[in-house]
Amino acid sequence: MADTVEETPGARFGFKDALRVGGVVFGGYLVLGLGLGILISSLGLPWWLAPLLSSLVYAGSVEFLLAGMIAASAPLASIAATTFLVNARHLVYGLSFPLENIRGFLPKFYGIYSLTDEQFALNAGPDSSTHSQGRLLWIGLLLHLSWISGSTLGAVVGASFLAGIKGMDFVMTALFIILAIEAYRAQKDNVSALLAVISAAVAMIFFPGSMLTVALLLYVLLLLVRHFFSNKRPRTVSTETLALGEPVQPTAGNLQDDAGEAPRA
Amino acid sequence: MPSLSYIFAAVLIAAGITFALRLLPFGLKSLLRNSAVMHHLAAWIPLGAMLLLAAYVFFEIDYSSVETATPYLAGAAGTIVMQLWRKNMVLSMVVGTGICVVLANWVFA
Repeated sequence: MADTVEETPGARFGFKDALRVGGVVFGGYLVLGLGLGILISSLGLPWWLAPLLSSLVYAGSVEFLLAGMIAASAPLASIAATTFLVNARHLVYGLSFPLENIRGFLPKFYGIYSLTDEQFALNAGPDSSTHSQGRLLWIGLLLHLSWISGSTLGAVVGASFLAGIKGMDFVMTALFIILAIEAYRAQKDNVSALLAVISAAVAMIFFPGSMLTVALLLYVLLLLVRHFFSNKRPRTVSTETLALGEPVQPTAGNLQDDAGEAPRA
Repeated sequence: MPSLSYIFAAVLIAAGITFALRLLPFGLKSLLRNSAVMHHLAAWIPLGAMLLLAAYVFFEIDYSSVETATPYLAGAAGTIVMQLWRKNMVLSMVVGTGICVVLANWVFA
């Protein structure tokens, strides 16, 4: 992104620098937050759920789901399972986020707390080890504030002006369609995609009442099976190699190994 | 409307799990680094989770009548076309939601 701002040693990275680096993303957060707020009000939920969700949970896409689940009084266990599976991607962010550049307990706490997809994307690039505490915390804080103010505004405005309008909850439908398109664009992993399609189909047919939770659980189960088979044959691949490089492509990679380096058309 | 205690419990549970997921890799950095299954799951879950979320919102559309389904399906089509064409998330959302709202309120009302 706009990662061109020089970080001269000694100079403090402040509010204005954060605006230059993350301004576009702050705007995006504001608009998406607005969508969340409008959804919350269109579901008939109280407006204060918007600042509560966006300040405490603060994890983008799952908040849209939570709003719907809370409105439907979904069991707390489903809420926990859905949050865990949708947010499981965060398990990888900490591996390359330069938390060691942040000093002090509370700043470190907030650095972890505010580690959303976008905070990660803006701050965990190849040159991340040089990012200062000021940069990490300012960008994190401004993203958080953009999200909270967008969603609160959306909930308040939505409740007063958009109450009678049908179809506003489509913002969530749109968001997830877009995220799916972008996820596939970024990672054209057809095996994962196929397993996801199978999981979705099975859950829709056999568990229509809790389609998403069952589909996500089934998907992880299928991934464990895939992992089991992808690791079974090439025992020569040590876990250290796996840990350093990209995750080994399952079948394709193994087949290539079997075939040696011989070029096959 | 759901009870206040239910809303607070739901939000706190979700917040706790989210924070734990963000904290875990820092605490267990070395362990996670050497775990092949964690690496595989971390690489494979995001795409599938996003596809399942998209499948879920399609599944949630009310297909009981043409009046309820058409605005959402048309909005979805508009969103997909805009995203493939312009790759602008906010624009795609505005166009898709606009189509859905116009059809739901003034065409299929």
